[in-house]
Amino acid sequence: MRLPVLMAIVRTQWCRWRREQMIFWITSASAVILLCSVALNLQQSTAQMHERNALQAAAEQDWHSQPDRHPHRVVHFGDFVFKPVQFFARWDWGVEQYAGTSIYLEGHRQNSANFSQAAQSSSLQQFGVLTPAFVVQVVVPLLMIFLGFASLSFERENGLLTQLLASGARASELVFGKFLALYAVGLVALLPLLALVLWSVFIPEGNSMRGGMLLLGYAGYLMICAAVVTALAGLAKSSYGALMSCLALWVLACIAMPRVASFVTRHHWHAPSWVEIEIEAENRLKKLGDSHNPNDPYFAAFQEKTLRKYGVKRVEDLPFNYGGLLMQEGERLTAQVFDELNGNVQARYALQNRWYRQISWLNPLMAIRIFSMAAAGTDYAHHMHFLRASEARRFAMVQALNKIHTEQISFGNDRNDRNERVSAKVLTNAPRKNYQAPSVSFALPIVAHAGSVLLVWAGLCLALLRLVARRIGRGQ
Amino acid sequence: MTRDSAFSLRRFGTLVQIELSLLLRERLCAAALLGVLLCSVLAIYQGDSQIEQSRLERERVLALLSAQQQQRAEAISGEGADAGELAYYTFYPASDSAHAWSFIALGNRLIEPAVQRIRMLGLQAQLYDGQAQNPENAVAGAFDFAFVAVFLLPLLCVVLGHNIRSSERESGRMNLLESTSPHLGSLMSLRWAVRAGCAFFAVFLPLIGFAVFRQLSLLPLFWVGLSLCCYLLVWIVLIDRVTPASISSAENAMRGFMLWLALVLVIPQVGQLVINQRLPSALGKQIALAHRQSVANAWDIPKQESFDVFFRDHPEWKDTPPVLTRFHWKWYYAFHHVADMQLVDRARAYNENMLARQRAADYLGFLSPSIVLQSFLERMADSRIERVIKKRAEIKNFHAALRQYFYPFVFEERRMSASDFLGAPAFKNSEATDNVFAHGWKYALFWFVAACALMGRRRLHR
Repeated sequence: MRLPVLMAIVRTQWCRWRREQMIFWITSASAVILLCSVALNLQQSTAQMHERNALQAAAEQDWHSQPDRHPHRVVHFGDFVFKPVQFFARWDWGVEQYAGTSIYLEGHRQNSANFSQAAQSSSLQQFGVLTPAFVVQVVVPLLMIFLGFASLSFERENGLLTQLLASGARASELVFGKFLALYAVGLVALLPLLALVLWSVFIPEGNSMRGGMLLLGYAGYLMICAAVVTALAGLAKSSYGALMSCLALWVLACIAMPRVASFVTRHHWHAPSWVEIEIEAENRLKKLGDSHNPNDPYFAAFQEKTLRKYGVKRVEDLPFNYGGLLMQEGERLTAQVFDELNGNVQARYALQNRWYRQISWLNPLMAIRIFSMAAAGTDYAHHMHFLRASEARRFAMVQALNKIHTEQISFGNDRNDRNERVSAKVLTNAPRKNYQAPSVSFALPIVAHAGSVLLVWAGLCLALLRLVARRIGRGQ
Repeated sequence: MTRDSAFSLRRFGTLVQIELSLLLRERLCAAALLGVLLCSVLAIYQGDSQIEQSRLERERVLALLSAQQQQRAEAISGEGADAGELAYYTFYPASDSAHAWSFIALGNRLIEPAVQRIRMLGLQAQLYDGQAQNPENAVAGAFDFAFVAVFLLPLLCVVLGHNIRSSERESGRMNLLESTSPHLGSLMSLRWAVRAGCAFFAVFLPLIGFAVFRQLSLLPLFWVGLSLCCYLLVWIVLIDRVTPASISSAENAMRGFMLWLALVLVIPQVGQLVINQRLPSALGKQIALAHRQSVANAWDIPKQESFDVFFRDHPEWKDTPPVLTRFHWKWYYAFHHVADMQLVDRARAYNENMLARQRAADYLGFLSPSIVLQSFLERMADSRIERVIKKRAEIKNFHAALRQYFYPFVFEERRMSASDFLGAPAFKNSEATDNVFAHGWKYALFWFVAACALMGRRRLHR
């Protein structure tokens, strides 16, 4: 392929688009939609960030304004965490709409993440959200179809194809020139993302590595779109036929298939509900042992073990508060049971998502969705990371308080009268680790999977373009 | 005269037959019709299986909770048990309601838990608990009948109808038709009618089949059919307006798709973002924070302060002896109720906020007929935020009944026998309603009039 000829073909194509009024209107409309989504999402994510920061600050203030209390009261007072907004949520909200944003961390149980946006929404929820990611995933391909469906079929219809070939242009130059012309227009839609990535370089919470991955992924996706449109235009007998087959593909890939796939995976790998987990946890804990019951076999054995360890006869003679130790043991068991059950559900969800990822081999749109959410740090894996970190925070905090209970509250007083208190200074020092979003490497497995889907598709599409070029070269 | 009309009727039948065969000869049209038909079947199955799964979940939870309750009752000895402690450990199921037609639009049923557990502690800390499903799975959106009707039906119209006129011109038949047919307009109308009829039945036939198969009440079926007809009419008129004969079929297809993109995706999505911006909702989370603070504070302030507030709502227990020990259940339940009392206004404002969001969304029906149909179907399926708020009100009533039942035992320090315990009230939700008329009609009327006006203008034009 000769570069000057390629560029000439690209320029000619652009020139033709510039002359067409319809193309001008459609392109402007798409640009407006994209800018609109960027502006609205910047505003929205900033608002969410402020809201959650303010709530977290309020929770922080509540925590520190506690008076001197019995440590177990503080275990019940608990703690609130609000999920921080990720930097690239400005581009792709991912699961943010549907995932709970606040968790109440308290002793004896694990709570669900509540107050998702979707739970507070009107019937418009079913139409989805206009994120810039959505615009590039769904609207830009449609624009590319409108631009590109006539790129080769027009020449064929008007008998220009043989003329061009006769005048010295090679078929491959023609096909790849048209493809590049279309691809370049598609890439313009990534300018807001580029701006976001540049911005992320300069601020601490921005993660430009993630931005770089996003750019690469979308560049690959748009390449697939441009190649498919050009190839179909090159294969079709008429430009109208090319348009209709492109549109049919678009409806299938962008509108129908993601929903069907999500239904199929959810339906096939059914996951139990939150309430069922809670009930199951209670039933299991009851079977394990009841710390209030003096005749309970598990806790009787635990008491005997403790007494033997310290060489004393009665719990009153232990060098610490046995009640606090019981609390620690109880909390350990509770967390274990909840971790296992929650782990089961999370594994179920992960299985659903894994199958969704497998189905994405059939559809690059699904692949870029998965890729985009993972790279932006807004997919379920990242949400699960937040859930687990919150549970770790809860467990560490509760056990630290139980330890204070064990060491600083006398056993006798504890039994008769829980009025003994510990200084608030000591209590509020219990560890409450701030959430740290995972680094890029956390996203890599999913990004790599979705990325390889895109890569394979891109390779296939380029091969298809070669095939089309050969066909055109043979004069078909 | 009679011979004439019989003749024209036969002629009409022939014309319809010709139009049908013309339509089905276009491979893409036939494939699109078949695709939408399949989608409709699948969507009905999906909606139905989702509702069925929720029902099974409710039954499982009900069985589990009643087993727990039975166990507790059996553990109560002859002299009875401490009612305060029983109430603390016993959870009661409060389930969501669905009716036979709820499968048609899943709406927020995919988000809200199908069943919740309620106990006698502070209500505001329990009311918003529970996640319903995998959030990543939910991102794609529901695949229900409403999706097929709202999203795919207009797309099908675009595919079937964008080239009704332009294809005639492009194939060079337009002049012939204009010179030989005195009523070109009525021929085009007939062509539209045939195509719209096919589109309608591709979506609606599976629903009829399902309704007959399940022996569902037929009135909702009628309303769905009528609303689909109105929706179709609006779309046909709009598509017909933007696809004149003078423009190429390809350009007409683009115009049709852009129209679809604007009305079905962009306007509702922008609307959703603007609503979120204008009516932000941090209240739920604030309620959660405030409730925790109120309950925890009660342990640090004099008990009488909590009782003073509590007696405002429940003066009937004013004369029970004061609590002098460190702990008493009646004090515990009193301050939990006080936390709820203090949040009454904010809880109401939270509900009001969500209803205002829904109202704003309904107003956007003036901008897009898709919003009207989605709203209508969700209202019929009772899958909107109103149901959730109604359910929460019912839970509140149930919670009150539960407290009324347990208070005498707690405040009068009466022991509770097993039969007393099992006699506690159970949650009963009212039937889900398919209230199709409330409010929605004015948007439907607006679009109907707009469609008629556009149709009239077209006729004048010619």
